[in-house]
Amino acid sequence: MPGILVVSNDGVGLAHTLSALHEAGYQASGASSFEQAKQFLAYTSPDLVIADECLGAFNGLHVIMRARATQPEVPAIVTTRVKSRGLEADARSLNVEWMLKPQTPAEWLGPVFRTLRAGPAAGPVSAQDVASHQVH
Amino acid sequence: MYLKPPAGASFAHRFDAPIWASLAMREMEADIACAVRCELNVLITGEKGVGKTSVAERIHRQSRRASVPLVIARAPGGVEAPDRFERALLEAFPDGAVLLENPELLSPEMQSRLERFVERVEIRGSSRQAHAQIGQVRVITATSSDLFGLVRGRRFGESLFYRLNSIHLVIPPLRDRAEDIPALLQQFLSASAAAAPVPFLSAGARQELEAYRWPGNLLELRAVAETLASLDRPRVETDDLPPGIRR
Repeated sequence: MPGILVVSNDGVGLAHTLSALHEAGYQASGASSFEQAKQFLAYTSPDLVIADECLGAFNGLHVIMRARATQPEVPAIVTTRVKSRGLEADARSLNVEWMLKPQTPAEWLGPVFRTLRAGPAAGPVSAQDVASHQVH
Repeated sequence: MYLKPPAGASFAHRFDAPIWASLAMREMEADIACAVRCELNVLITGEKGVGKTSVAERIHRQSRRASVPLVIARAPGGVEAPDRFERALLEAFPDGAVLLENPELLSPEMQSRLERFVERVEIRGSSRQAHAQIGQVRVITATSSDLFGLVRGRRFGESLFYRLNSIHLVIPPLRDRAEDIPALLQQFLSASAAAAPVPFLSAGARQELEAYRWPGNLLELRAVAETLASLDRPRVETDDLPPGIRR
């Protein structure tokens, strides 16, 4: 069962997302801050890291870089509330998927499945994938 | 008040081969390694004198962009004019690196311009060629302000903040990592007492140094090291320390 680390400081959204991933058969763990994510990564090696870009004073990309310090090819997804060309370019440079934050927990499942299926440090999510999972 | 280093003196200690005793700084080394490996923008925060600029220079020096100069862009405030700030950004265009200092001083309009710059959608300036290109300038930001606090207070743009802080290094003040002081002092003494033997630190002097609050952080520690080196003694005792440091 793939292990997924979800990092978001939106407590309610995080709980719903974890619940949806559990129901879909994933072993998902949550971290509500950059510090918690760092502690989690010090002791575990997830198969996928999903991090929100906005983590208080920190950035989800930083969490992903920390994860890749010990697992250089761990697949990762960074989510954002607002489309950003800069974030898109940064994500591409790291071979990280990026997507607009889903509105419902169920909307996570498609990108998660595709990213895990693509394997280590997968290429960018296709435009069609992003379009089908972005906030409308 | 704290002892200030001599005017114009270079910051000899540049963190190039640090051996930290404190867990906080060893943690930060892991983040510096992340910043060196990638091309993401970096935000460095910490009190005045903790060595933000030195860390920024080190990241740049060890990065893949080391062959190009790190252009200093001070946020316009005081004597710095906005056009000078923009010129500095353009100097790094299209694929150089900028050290952005004190972005909290930027006006909303300048924040907006900077955001367009880091979002790589528009470059404003005198160069027509620049308008036609999408740059990939790396921005390393250094500030002693609580930039996220300013975001929460709506005095600094949230989206700009998250474009600048892809990696956020928080350098702790010296008083929170007293265990680093002896090794740092020895390094500063080595640099100050170039030809002479480095003086030995007595246990009493060490305790006093570790108990002191160091409001000026590394800058102040270096100034103390220079004072102690000038005494030209083989051993530093408690009485040799500047009066403000002795309890």
